[in-house]
Amino acid sequence: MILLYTNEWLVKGLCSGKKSCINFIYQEYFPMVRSIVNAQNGSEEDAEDIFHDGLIIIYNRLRKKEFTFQSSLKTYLFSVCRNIWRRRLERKYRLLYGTDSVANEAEASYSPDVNEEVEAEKFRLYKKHFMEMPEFCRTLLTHYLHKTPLQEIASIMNYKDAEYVKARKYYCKNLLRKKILSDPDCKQFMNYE
Amino acid sequence: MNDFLTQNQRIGRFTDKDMSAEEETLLLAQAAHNPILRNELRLDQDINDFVTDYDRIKLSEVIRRTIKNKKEKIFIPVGLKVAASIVMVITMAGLAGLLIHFSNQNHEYTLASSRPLFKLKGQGLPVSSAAYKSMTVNSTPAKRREMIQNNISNDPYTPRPEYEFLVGTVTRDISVILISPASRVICKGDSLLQFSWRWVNGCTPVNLEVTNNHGHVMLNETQITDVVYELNLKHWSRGLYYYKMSAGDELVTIGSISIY
Repeated sequence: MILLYTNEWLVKGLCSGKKSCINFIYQEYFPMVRSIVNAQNGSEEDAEDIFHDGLIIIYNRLRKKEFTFQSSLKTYLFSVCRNIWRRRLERKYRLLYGTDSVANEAEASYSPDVNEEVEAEKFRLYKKHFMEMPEFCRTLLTHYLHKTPLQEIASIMNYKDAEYVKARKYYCKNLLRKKILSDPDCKQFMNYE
Repeated sequence: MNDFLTQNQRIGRFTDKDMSAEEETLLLAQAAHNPILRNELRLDQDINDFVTDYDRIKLSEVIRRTIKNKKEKIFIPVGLKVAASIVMVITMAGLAGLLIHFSNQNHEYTLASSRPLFKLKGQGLPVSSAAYKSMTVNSTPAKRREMIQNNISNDPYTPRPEYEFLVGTVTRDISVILISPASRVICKGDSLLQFSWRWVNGCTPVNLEVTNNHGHVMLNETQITDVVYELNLKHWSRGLYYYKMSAGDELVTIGSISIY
């Protein structure tokens, strides 16, 4: 059964990561994102990535207290996804687009921020490699970076002492860093210099 | 511990702010001259920021799982696809068998129906299947004549019996000898057909009449005093036509023109 959600409920659900809301957003709005991507020879995987990054960007914006919606979530998601896809195409194929899309963006009250889009893409890349890491690494890094005391981590993970936890943490972080740096997608936006 | 791991530990300690002031100054001085080290330091900071943002990771995971679950729902296993194909083929074969069986049982009905089943060729020209069926069913000469008349109106290539047996055989007037065209001409729709002849006993005006297989006059040129006449077939429709050439009151020849 598909329930109908109001815009406010959807926004709240997105902020709290509610599964039913995400499910509704996917069912109702993903075809729209797919059509944007397919219109310019994008694949199903591209559409999924764009949809994911679009929701993450909106989530990041919603967390900033000063941000308010001036249009519906659907319109906003459409604008965000179209911009991400356009920038991705520009980066890939160096395509130039007309001014009409910019006019529509203004209507949708979405001001594109390149950094946000790059951040969303980086986030997806990090998460992909983070989820591919061994379970103990993920747990250790999460505990460590949430400032859990080393002794407590050692007891949770059955390690002999805090020093060993530190050594394992360096190992895990190094593993993650190596995985990220060896990813071909990383080179597109990781060149800081 | 090798140098690489030591370097990574130093980066990690720098990000965790676990270094002494001297060590930090030294690392920053190294980073000022080493872009790779600068990249590594920034990446390490990014990873820290990423892992600490647990809510965002959770949301991302929910989105990914939603996409994956929906994709799995519409996924049809290969076995099921093969089974569906087999069922479809069997059904089609069964239907085809029934159709053949039904057709065989109602053979006469099928032949008598007006729906064309197949085509045959007669006398070098195509004959409609309806004509063949009617010939089979209607056996009396009157009915056959009626059938032929009906078919002429339907098929532009059906020969007209009263002209057909005269084609190429009639040459009564010896004052004009036809050189071209042949008695049966087959030509394309946009071609130019040349009629040429020779007079034996002085100039005698020639008449040329072309009719279609319905008997309608398409062209009637009288009193041609030249020995050549060119007939442009550009706007003529496809079909069988008969030309009749006469000199005065005498018929010279009858021929057929088949335009395709």
